[in-house]
Amino acid sequence: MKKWQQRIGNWFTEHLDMPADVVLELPRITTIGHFHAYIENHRGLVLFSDNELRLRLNTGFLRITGESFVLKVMLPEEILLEGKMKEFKFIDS
Amino acid sequence: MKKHTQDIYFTGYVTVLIKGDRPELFFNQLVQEKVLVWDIIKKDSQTCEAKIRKQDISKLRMQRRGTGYKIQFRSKHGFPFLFTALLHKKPLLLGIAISILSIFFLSNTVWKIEVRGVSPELEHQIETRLDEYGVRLGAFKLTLGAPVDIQQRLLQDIPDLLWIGVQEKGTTYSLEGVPKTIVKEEEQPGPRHLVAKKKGVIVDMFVSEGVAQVGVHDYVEPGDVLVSGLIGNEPPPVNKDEKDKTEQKDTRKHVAATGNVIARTWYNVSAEVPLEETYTVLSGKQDNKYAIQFGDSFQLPIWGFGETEFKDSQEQTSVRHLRFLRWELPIGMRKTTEYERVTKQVKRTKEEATAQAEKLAKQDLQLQVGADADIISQKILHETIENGKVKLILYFQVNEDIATSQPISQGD
Repeated sequence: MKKWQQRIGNWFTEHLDMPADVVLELPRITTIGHFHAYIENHRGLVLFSDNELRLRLNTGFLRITGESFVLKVMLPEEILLEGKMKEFKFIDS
Repeated sequence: MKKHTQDIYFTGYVTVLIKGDRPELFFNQLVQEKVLVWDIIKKDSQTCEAKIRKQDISKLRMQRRGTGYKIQFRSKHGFPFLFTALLHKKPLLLGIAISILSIFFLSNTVWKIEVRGVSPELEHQIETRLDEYGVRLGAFKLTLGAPVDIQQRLLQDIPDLLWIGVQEKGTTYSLEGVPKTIVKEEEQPGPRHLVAKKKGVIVDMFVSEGVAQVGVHDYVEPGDVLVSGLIGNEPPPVNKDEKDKTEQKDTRKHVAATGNVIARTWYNVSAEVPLEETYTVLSGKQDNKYAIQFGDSFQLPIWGFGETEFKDSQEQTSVRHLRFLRWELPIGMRKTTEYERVTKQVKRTKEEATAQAEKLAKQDLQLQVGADADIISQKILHETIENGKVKLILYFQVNEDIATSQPISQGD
């Protein structure tokens, strides 16, 4: 069932030019330079510290490492991270 | 993000410390409960610092229950906290209150009285009167009457004033007066006759200039020349035939005839007086009520409660508004004065009514002929009682000056 949904979603994004994050419920990560990261559509905070942020996604986790992290805004499905980012990593569960 | 935190200063926010094992996970719970959290910093492995809105504090406490996390409040920000902090600073608060009160007080104080347009003596007189009414420097304006009242009282009390404008400009009373100027006699009236304005019989004459044309006991009609302004012999009537022969000149001198011609005149005056009459008068008793008025309608009585004991009364209200600097506040003092009204019923006998009617008629006539005229005699010509009214027709004899001037035309 899930696979099937994804395939329809893929078809939508490819043929109708619809944004992938909306159709496929994937996270959208916007970064401004290395100091702002705006993550939408996450599924919860798993870990947060001065130099690491780990978020749960629909598929696996997102791990951001860096320095002097501050969560400027935290909403149920959005997070604005501020600090000096070094690495974004997707981890499959 | 800015959207959330822009107005936060006005609602207030606090910095909290969350302590416990993996404190950041606590925020997951919070955001699910729609608690706005921002500026989250991890202090160490056991502590997180974050900011939340003041109104979310109770939600935070609710969420904490049973989790094992510990909450510490660090600092408070924003207007509500500032305000409560201010409330605890009694001397500051007192100072603010005193300053507002004094501005209030000073805004409602008379600071300046200007009198313009009158002579210094009159100005002094006005100032003395104003002082009597309480309008003086330093007086509290709420206790004073409205400018219109001051104006009326001044006009009543100072006969030399023709008109005075009283204006209230903030803390200044500005008065502008117009003194009565005594109009001097017309300079040198032109040549004129004195003629009769009413019919009558001359009783007395005094001619200071001109030639008397009538004598005492003469009967005159309106328009008759009483005192001529032409002195000298009348030229003989010009004969048509001799017209071109002798052209006699009018040698008479033209003067302004002056004098008093007192004549006896007569009048018929009718007067009516009802036998039974009801009328209302103010008894003079009054009751004052004071109330503080907010806006246009809400009133808070502060003095004089309850209904008046007057059965019938007439009400007069005046509202004085408080001022703050140059603004008039919607708060004011309302003074309501109730005057007792008494209905009086008068029943007159026929004689009383007649006497009353005579009196009325006489007063009426005196007004008509002027104060200088003397009413010599009166006589009731006719007396009827109709519809409960006594109706009189009276005959009066009056001695009055009937002379009026008539200019002599000097044309040609």
